[in-house]
Amino acid sequence: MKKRKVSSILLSLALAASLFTGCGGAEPAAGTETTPDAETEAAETETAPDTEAAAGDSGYKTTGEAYEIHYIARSNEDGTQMQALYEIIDMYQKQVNPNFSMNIECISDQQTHNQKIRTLAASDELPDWWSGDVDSFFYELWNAGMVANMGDIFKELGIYDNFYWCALNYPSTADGEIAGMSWNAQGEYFWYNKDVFEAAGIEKTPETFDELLEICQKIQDSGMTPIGMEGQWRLLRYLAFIPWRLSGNDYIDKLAVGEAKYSDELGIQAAQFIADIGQYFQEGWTTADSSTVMEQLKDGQFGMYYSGTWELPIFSDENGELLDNIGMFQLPLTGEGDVNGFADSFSNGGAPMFISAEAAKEEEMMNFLAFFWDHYNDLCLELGYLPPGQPSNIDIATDLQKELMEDFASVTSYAKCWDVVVDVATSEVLLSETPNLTLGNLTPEEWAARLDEAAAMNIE
Amino acid sequence: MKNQKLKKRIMPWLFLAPALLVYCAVVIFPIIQSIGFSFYDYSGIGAMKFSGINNYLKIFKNSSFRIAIRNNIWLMLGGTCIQMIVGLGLAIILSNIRRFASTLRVVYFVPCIISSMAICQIFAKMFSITPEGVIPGIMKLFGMTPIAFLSDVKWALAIVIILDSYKFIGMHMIIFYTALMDIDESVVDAAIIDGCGLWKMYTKVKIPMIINIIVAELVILVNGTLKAFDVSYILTGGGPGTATELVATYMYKTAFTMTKYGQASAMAVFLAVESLLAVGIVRLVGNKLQQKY
Repeated sequence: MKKRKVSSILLSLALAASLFTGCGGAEPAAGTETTPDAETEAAETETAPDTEAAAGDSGYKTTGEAYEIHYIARSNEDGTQMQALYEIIDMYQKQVNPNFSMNIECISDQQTHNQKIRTLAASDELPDWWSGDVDSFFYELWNAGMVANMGDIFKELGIYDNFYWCALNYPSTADGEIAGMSWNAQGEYFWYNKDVFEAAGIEKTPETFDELLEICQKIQDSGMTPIGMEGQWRLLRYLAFIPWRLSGNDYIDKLAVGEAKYSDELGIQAAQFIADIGQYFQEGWTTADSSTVMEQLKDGQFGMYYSGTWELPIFSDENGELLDNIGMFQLPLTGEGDVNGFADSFSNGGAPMFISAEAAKEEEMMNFLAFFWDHYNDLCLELGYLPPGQPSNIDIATDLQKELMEDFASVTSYAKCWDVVVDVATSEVLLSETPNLTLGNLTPEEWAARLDEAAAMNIE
Repeated sequence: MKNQKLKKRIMPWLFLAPALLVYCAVVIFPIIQSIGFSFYDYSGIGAMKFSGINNYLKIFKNSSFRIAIRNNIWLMLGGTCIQMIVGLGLAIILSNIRRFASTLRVVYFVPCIISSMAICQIFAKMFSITPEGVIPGIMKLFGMTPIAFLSDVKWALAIVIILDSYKFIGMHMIIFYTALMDIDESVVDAAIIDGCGLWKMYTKVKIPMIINIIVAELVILVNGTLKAFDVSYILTGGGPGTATELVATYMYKTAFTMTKYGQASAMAVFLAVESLLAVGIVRLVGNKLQQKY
C-alpha cells in the first residue's frame, strides 16, 4: 500500500515535470522554413566572426566590439545580394572588425517571407534588416517610426548622389522620403527564344500589344507554347501593361485610394488584355516554378518569358553576353494614346532592404554600411548583375551590362507594381482572382466586380 | 474511511491536472482570446480598435470567404465518404486475409506518416503538364488529352479532396481493422452456423457490432475535414483563384498576409462553432444509430 502511494506520488511529479519541459524558452529556432516549391527553400546562415584575423589599419571606422546584424532576406541563398553580402562580410571581418557577424535568413518565397515579417512586426520582434516593399503594411511600420530613413543615412555617409535615380527613389514613400536600399538596377523585358521565333516565321519583335498577340498566335500555330508563365506578381505585370501605357501611374494610384474602380474602362481593358494573352500561357502555369520555366525558354519549349535583368546570369554565357539563342525586347506600346515610350517601363531596384530605426542608431551598423556601399556596386558587376549605384570601375562591366546600365541611368519614370501599391488585403484578392480571369473562369466584368467589392471593404 | 473516499476522488484529478493545464493553456485560453480579438480591428501595429460585430459582418459579406465555406463543405462531404468507405473496405479485406496482412497494413499506413509537404510535392510533379508528369503521360498513352488538374477550377478541389483523404485513409483502416478483429469469434461462429453469408455477416453482424467505432470515426472525420489546411495550402495555395480555398487557409491568409487579425479571429470563431455544430449533429445521429443496433 505504501509502495503504491509512493509510486503514485512519483508518477504525478513526473507528469508535472513534463508539463514544464514542454514550456521551453522563447529562443527562435534555427530558421528552416519549408515552402512549396524548389525555389522557395529557406536557409539561415550565421557568418561567425573570424576571431583569428586581425583588423588591420583599413581606414574604416569601427568600434571593434562584437556586433551582430539579424537580416531576413527575400532572396535565394545563392542570389546576387547574398553572394555579394557574404563577400563583403568576410572582407569586413578580415579588414575592419573580426568581431562583426551577420545572422541571415533567406526566404525566397515572397508570400512566406512577408508573412514572417508581418508576424514578427506584430510581436515587436522586427529584425535589424529585412527585405520588403513600400506597401500598405510598410506604411504602418513607417508611421509608427519603426523604420530608419535611408535618405538621411545615405547623406550622412556621403553616398546619396552615387545612386542611379530609379534605384534611389524606387523604395521611397509617397512624400518622397527614401525608406529603403535598392539591391540592383533592374529593368524588365520580354526574354525570347530566337529559334522559336524563327521557326514560327517571325522576323521582328513586337512594338505594339496587337503585334504581341499576333506573334503569340503564330508561335502557337507553329506548335510551340508562346509564353512561359509562373508566379503571381508576374501575372499582375501583364494586367498593368495597358493602364501604364495609357495613363502612367495615374490609374493605379487612384485605384489604391478608391478614387478609381477596377470596372472603369481602363480596368476592363486591362482585364480583357490578360484574358486574351492568358490563352497563350503554358498548360498548368499556376503551379509552375520560375527556374523550370527559364530552362524551358532556353531549351526552346517556350517562345517568350517576361522577367527582369536579375535573370542575366541565367540567360548569359560565361563572358556575360546574352546566349546566342536568347534575345530581349522592351514592353510594347498600345499604339494609340500612349503617354510614355519604350524606355519607360517597369524599372526598380529589386525588393528593397529596410533597417529598423533601433538598429540604425548603432554606431557599428553605420560603420558597416559605409564599408558595404564602398564595395557593393563593384562586386555586383563582377557577379554579372547591374548595381544600383555607380561602380568605381566601369571597365569590368561587359558590353551588355554597360548598355543596360545606360538604359537604367536614363530612367526618369517607372511603372509602379500593382501588388505593392494596392493595400495588402485587396492585393490578396487581386492575386487570387486574376488567375481565375486568365483561365477564363471569370469575365473581365465579373473580375472587376469582385475587385471593386474587395476594394470597397478594405480601403478606409 | 472518509479520507480514503476523498483520496479516491482527488487522485484522478491530480493525474489529470498537468494535461488539463496544458489543454487549457493551448486550447481553451487561445479560444477565449480569439473570441476577444474578433471584436477588434488590429493589424499587429499600433493599438487595437474595438469594432463590435463588424468583423463578423465583413467576413460574411466577403465572397471569397463564402466560397471557402462552400469548398470546405464539399471537402467535408467528399473526404468523409472517401475515408470512411475506403478505410472500412480496406479493413474488411485485411481482416479476411492471412498472408501478407501485416505487410499490407504497413503499406497502407505509410501515407499517414509521410509529411504533407512531401506528399504534395510528389503529386504536384505527378500532375504537372509542363514538364510532363506521370499522370498526363498516362493519359496520353490512353489517347486522352492531358488535363492540368491543379490549374483547372473544375478539377482542383476534387484533387485536393482525394489527396487529403489519401493521407489519412491508413489511419482509419487501422482503427476499423482493430475494431473488426476485436469482435468475439463466438458471435461470428454462431452467425455462420445460422447460415450467414459474407454479405449478411458484415451488414447484419460485424458492422452493427462496431457501430460505436464508426460513429466515433465519423466525428473525427467531420471535425478534421472542416479544419483541413495543409494539402490545400501546399498543393494549390487555395487556387486556382479561390477554387480550393478553405476556411482554414483563408483564415491563415487573412491573419498573416492581410494582417487583419480581428477578421481572422472571427473566422476562427466561426470555424469552431461550425465544427461544434457539425459534431453535435453527427453525435445525435450516431446515438440514434447506436440505440437501434
